[in-house]
Amino acid sequence: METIKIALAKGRLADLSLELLEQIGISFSSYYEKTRKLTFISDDGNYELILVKAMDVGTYVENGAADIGVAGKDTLLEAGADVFEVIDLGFGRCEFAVAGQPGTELSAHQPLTIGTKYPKITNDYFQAQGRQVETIKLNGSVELAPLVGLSDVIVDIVETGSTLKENNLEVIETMLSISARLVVNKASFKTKGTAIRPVIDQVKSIVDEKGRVTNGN
Amino acid sequence: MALNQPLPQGVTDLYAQDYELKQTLIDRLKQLYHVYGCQPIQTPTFEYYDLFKNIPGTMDDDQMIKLIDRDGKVLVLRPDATVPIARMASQATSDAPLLNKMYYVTNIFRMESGESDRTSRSFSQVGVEWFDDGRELNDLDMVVLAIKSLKHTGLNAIQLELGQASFFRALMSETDLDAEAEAQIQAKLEAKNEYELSDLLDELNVSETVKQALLQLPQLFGKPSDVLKQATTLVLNSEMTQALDHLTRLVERLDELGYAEDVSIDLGLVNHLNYYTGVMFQGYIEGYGKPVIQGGRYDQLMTYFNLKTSAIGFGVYIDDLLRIVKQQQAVSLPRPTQAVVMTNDDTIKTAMELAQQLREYNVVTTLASDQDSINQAELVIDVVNQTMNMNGEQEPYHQLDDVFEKVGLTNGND
Repeated sequence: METIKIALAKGRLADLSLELLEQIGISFSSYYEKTRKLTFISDDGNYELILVKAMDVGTYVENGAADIGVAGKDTLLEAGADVFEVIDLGFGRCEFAVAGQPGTELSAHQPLTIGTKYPKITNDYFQAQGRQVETIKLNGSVELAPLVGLSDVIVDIVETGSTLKENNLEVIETMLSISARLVVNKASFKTKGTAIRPVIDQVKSIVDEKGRVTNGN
Repeated sequence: MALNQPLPQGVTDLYAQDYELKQTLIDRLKQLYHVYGCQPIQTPTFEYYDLFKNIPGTMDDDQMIKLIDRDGKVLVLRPDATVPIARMASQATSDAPLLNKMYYVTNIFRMESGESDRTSRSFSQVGVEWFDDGRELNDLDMVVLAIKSLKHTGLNAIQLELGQASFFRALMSETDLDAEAEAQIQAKLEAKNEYELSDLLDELNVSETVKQALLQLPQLFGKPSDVLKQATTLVLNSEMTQALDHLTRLVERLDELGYAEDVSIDLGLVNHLNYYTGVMFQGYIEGYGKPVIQGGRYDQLMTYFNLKTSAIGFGVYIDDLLRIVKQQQAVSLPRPTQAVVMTNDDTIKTAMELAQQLREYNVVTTLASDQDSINQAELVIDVVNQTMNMNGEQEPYHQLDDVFEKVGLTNGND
């Protein structure tokens, strides 16, 4: 049988995904050895794990470099990958929000300037509401932008809100909630269906059992 | 000054080997369509924007590359191959009667933003359009031709996926949703995103029976017999039954013809539903992430041009095919014998005459006056020193006939 390639985002999402895969009997023991490797073969030899940047999972899967992937809905929306998004895994749950200094009125700024790592999601959200915004693409430490006057507000993922609080910012508007999704390459799902569909079905039954609202921990 | 002129995003140059391979693929398809009775046609590279704008739902407005004409009218670079052909057919007169089975080789232009794709904004498509009477036999004929198109390029691990536009249409007729809501449902189905689809259907207050049927659609793909059996349990009206019966008959025929391994069904195939009205299909090659062939029956489009005909067609994405064929080394180009004739100023007449004779035997022949350019040649003939070197063995010759004899090109001309 041809190996099935699984793309995971380095970090917590990969750990949670591997836990899930282990429950359906797919283990990558070599992943837990201290190593800088980016690819791992499963213990049964049928699967290959590829570790990539979170934002790239969709790209790998869309182009068929990986058959399956686990990616946050945030990265899928931002990168706009053309893939099958078959399961809402329920973990990695967090919220997209507009945040700014306390008391910021969104309507007071025309146009509103927004610092964000997610210009596409931001533009889509505000455009759908017919509001004019100017996005400034940042690559990190987004919280800094309103403090130094680079932007009026920011759009970012909020998990606990503690980073915002430390920088004297607060959530002004919640936008959409996101979670980890299992994605499948459109061609692989068809041409390697006999190998991929059982994996999907098993993961789905575990996820459905747990209920979609739990946080995977 | 060093010239470093960048290319615009989404376009690419093609060099010798790649371009030759691409032409070979195109030639093979042209030959196939020729023996199927299709005639070649060509439409202009740009046309009026209004042509495409007035046909709802077929072309994304933002994706057309637009130009302004001298009189201020808006032109677009050909964003689609089929619409101009329908336009052409509607303008056919008795002097230039409408052809009913055509093929084209053309470039399509789109304003895609794909950052990494070298052919996202200008790509080649070879395709077939058939203005017919809509009979089922023709569906079968075109599906088989689509399968053959892929196999004819030397690829065997193919999968042609069949769908039926009228199945989904008939299912949606049980609801009274507007076009926007329907588009949202289609987007979720297209991504096989059952979870978000379920939430959306709740939001839209879709009735429980329709909801259950829609939620099953993403799973309804794979082996035809299994899928069709499962699908019969979802039927809510006679149109849905008809759609399934049509697919069943098609699949049975394909089975008889020995194509069972090459086809599958996906009833969740709902992209381009504003366009297709009957059977739809898209073809995948194992190991490649995108469909390389796409087609189906599209009667609706013809009505915009007041054409009383049914229509079925498909397009092959040649650039994607080229990439796969290169990856899998599925096609090897014939490598003709290469010869170099070495000469100096005094022997030019002899050299050019010899070169000409060799070319008549289809030997790729170039002239050279230094040693540098002879590296790749199997055959080097030095008319200055009257020596020839074939595959590394050097020997003298006395007259040119010796050369032909030596390389097995017996010269019957004198």
